[in-house]
Amino acid sequence: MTHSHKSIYEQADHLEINGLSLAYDGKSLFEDLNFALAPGDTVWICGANGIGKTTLLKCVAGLIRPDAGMLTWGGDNIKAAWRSGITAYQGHHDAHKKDLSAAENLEFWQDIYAGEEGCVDAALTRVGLWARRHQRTHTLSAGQSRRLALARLMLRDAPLWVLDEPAAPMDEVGRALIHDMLRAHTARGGSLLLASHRAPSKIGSSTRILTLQESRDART
Amino acid sequence: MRALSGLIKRDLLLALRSGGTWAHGLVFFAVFLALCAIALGGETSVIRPLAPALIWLALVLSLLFSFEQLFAGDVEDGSLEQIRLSGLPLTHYVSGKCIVHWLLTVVPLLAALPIAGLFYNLSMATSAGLFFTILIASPALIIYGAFSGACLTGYKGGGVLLVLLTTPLLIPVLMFAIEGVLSYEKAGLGAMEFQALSGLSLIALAIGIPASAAALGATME
Repeated sequence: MTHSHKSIYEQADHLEINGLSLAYDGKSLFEDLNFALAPGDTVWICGANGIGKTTLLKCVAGLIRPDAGMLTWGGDNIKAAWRSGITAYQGHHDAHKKDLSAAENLEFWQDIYAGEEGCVDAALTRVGLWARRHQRTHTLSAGQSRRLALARLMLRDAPLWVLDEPAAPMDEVGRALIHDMLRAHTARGGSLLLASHRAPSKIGSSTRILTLQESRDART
Repeated sequence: MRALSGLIKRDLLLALRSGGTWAHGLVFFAVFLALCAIALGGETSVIRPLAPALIWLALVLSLLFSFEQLFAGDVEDGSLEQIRLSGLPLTHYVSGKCIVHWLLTVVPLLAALPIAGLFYNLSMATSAGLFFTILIASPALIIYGAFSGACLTGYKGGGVLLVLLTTPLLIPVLMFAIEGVLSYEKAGLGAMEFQALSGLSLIALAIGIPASAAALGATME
């Protein structure tokens, strides 16, 4: 472990992205992209719709293979770290089964993550869905559904959070909740990669912005 | 183990709340056999020798159309992405899906077999032969279907392709199974066909599950 400060996440480490390139449909989304994330760091990916923010996040999460480039976790190829489940990703889909209740959905994920007993109740309370725990998820609003998806993040100790517009369907209270969650994550030594087309806010001690632009260059 | 049992529990609960969609295969099985009996004139002497083949055809056809949706739900709602990121090997996930699919499709058909036997006036030996061929060959049936379903995940209108891809894999199973029903009367479970069916199921377990997991991983990239 090489991180600068003590993290409570056992697997927390430095993420380095070197020379990442990806083209989609003949159009280059990013070329030779380099940046790094240390434990406790936040990087916002900004840019217009369709510029490639989601694709970049999926590359970092290990869901899309880039055309070129190398991702390392603590100096080693990131593949082994992906397989051990270092990444928590929240994309456009909330990944709930609509015929299951909020609590049943989380209990399923708790089984998948082999989480501790009691995590589900704590997570539901944290995101303000305790009163709706027996409600089927198809009856939840978009904002409530996203809260439930964020509750899933709390069921395990993934040191790298990759979140794609997490606050998009949320109201003011929901946005504050997300901000608190993200701050707590970085304060514990987790690192954070976020996409947004809104003005980014400062989270934790080290927050940087990476802007993707049409001219195909990316700058940090 | 806990992840696997959690997956099985969730999918069974979803099936229970799906308004009976899991029973479509069973309904198809019953309707197909009834129509065959009518089409063949209802004459027991005509139907009886054909019954093992008809019952096996009904089984294969009822299963064939069920694989398209096997992984589709988890892909569409993002669950499969989350499972992939959880660190759970996709082979565990595929195994869980296959077990649930077996419980929801093959077990009801095995339970309905005595009724089909009465319907076609089959001997005990033929009914038992059918039961054992289905039981032994079912892992191969389910896993080959799952493999095709995994290969075509994400393709719109993959249903026809899936049938075309699965059919060649199922032909050996069908051939040995129908012969196996006839051999059961003479040689019991020691008949060569049962060994062949066991072999096909074991190959499916050893190769089909990792291949399905690899196909799912590849189609998501």
